[in-house]
Amino acid sequence: MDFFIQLFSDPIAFWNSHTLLIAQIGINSIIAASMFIVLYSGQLSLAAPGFMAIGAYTSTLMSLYWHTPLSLNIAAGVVFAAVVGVLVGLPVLRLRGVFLAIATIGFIEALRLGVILNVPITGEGLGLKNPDADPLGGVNLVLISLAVVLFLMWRLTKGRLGSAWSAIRQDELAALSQGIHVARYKMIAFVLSAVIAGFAGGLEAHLNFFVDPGDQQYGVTRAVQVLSFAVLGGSGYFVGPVVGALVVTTLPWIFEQARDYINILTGAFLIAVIVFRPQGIVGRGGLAIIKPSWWPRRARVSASTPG
Amino acid sequence: MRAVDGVSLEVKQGSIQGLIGPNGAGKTTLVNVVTGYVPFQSGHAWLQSDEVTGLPAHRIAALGISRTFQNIRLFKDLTALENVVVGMHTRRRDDTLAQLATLPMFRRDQRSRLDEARRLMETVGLAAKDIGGRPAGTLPYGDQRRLEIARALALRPRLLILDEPAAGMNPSEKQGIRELIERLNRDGLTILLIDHDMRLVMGVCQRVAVLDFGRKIAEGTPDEVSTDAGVIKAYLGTRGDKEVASAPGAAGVDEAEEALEASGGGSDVEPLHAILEVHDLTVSYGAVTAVRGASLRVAAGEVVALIGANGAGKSTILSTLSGLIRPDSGTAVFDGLDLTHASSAAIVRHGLVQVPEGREILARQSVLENLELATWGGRRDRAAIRKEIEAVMKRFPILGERRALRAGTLSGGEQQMLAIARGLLAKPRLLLLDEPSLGLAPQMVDEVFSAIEEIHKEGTTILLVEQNALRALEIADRAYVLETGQIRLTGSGDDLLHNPAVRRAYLGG
Repeated sequence: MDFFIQLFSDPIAFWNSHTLLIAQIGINSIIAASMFIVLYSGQLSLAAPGFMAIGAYTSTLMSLYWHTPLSLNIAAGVVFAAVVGVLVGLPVLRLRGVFLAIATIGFIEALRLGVILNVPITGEGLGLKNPDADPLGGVNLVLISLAVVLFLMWRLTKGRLGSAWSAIRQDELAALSQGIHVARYKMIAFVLSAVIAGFAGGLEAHLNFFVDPGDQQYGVTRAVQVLSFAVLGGSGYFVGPVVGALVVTTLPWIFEQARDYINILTGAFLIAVIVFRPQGIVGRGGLAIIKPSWWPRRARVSASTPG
Repeated sequence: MRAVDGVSLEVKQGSIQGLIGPNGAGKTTLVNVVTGYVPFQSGHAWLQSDEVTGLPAHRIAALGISRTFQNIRLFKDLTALENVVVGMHTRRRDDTLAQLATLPMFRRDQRSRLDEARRLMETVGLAAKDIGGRPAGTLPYGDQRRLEIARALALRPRLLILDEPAAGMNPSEKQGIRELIERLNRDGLTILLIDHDMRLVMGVCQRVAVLDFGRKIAEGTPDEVSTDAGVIKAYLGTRGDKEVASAPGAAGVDEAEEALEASGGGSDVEPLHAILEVHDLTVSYGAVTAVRGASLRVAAGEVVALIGANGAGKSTILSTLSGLIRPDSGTAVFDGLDLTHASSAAIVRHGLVQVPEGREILARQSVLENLELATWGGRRDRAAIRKEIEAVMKRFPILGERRALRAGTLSGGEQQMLAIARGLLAKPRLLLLDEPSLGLAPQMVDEVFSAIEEIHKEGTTILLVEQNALRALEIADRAYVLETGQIRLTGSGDDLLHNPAVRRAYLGG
């Protein structure tokens, strides 16, 4: 409760005491936007943490060895992520549904276990120290970036690109019959998602003094967390995954006293949303709560009256 | 397996060309080949001077062949208008930069696209003002069919292919579709129409081609085609080794038919003591009514056939009887058990067993395993189960020989035998057979039918659904003729065999 009391009674103090949280919400929201693009085009890709790792390591290594400016480092990470996105997308995008999900998990695990934990320059299991990081100052950059990314999402889903993406999501065969080059539009979405994830990775590395090669950072655990943003928030509208990221990232702070049980709480909340709000928090039907068919209903009074 | 084999077809500019054929004839496969959905081994396709052979589907669409789908494929969560706007994809400039900058140009273009989408919806008879903003999946069935046509028109096609646009529609909706097709054609659109509804195809098309087993067996004006002996044979099937000349309608005894219809189709032959009694059954799938007020009776020991063209509601009646579908209204009682409320399992235990259309065997399991699975549940006595399986294998010796083979490697006829054998293991008193001759070569049809006759001789009552009407009528004691969900005629097998109205139920006219 303290969390909300401070948020509403003294926003400035809240900002100062929760800067790291706000920055993390921003980062996660950008990653959620990356997830949104692939889902919006009908692809269940879990590759985002892999592209984040590429963005994070590329920019941190450049800063460590060449002392190049932050903007150049992040831009290089983004370009590298895009190139890898094309290379991975070519074979992998022939797959659909869970098969694509499994293949993309294969990609992020191969990258983390096979490359990052094995190549000396990445610091292997020890990770990288990043003395140039700026945790508190970075928050403004994160929030501005988030605003730009959200604007992009909003506009892209309105135009020809977005129209083709939603057609593909709803029915690939029907999209083909409308003359839509399905393979090309899927690739555009996949690479754009890689670009945004690589960007988020570079930003996130800039917020921490240490690049951690752990599973919860660039592995399956992170992939599942990103997926939960979309499931929770809803993936039909670009705001959805961002709302999901906000909720998932904030929950541990709201229930600070119950830190030990936070995973159980988050899980229960996720299940509740899936059961009562299958389209996610943001979706069709306003804020209506949907009672599943097995939910006990009050016995209805018989329509026929005796006598 | 050749689904389409050496077919040539020419659609004249500005005409309506029909493409018909019995179930499994390869009509949809042909469309899928022409539109780039299915790869093919040999042949060529041209759209005017453009060769479309081997192009990917999206290129073919962009060249101007637009299509609808047999089972509607709208973008269900997009609004009706958005669906039509997607159809304009190929003639829309890439506006990514314009929309990023939110230029007024983008807004203006979007407004003109929406206007055009509204006009297209009005063209196909949809009120854009009322339903344009609704998600396509929530529209009534008939409107979804029309919306799919509007979306196809948004491509500004040179050729529009309609794959069963009137499927599942009631007569007045069908009339509406017919008028729409004629209107689009008058406005200069070339149309290739595929449909099972002969009244529609024969009424609207200038020329009709007929496919059977992947080959073109006839082409000509509707009149030529509907009296063609080969076409009648393809639709009504053949009678053992007899000649087609005796097929109903070939002799053209219209007066006899009229008399028969006037007399109410000889309902006097219906049995008094029925083991199965169906009264006024109405069944629908969502907005589509498949069966409208059907009544029928089957007495113990009979073979009764339900015949009628594709989509007449035959399989729906069977599935309702086995408890897989619940009817909207009407009753169905089998030997004291209310079939409209009992569970499927209870219905099978009571002795009513369905052999489904398409056989539905487990292709990767062996023949023996398929049979063993049929004895699952209930009886635990292994020795007795063995004996039952051996008995069934004796009844179908071919299954005994192939017991160790994977069921998927059997021929179509053998798979059908397996499906029937599996049904017999459930100890039916009434066996429902759904299209046992579907997709089988003629001599296999003979074998399957003689097996059915033998099962009947051993005392099992049979309700048989068949498109191959002549074969079914030969072995049936009585038959009901279904047309668009209603029972049109009933009589003894022999009577109907010589009744030209049967041909009309299949070929229209």
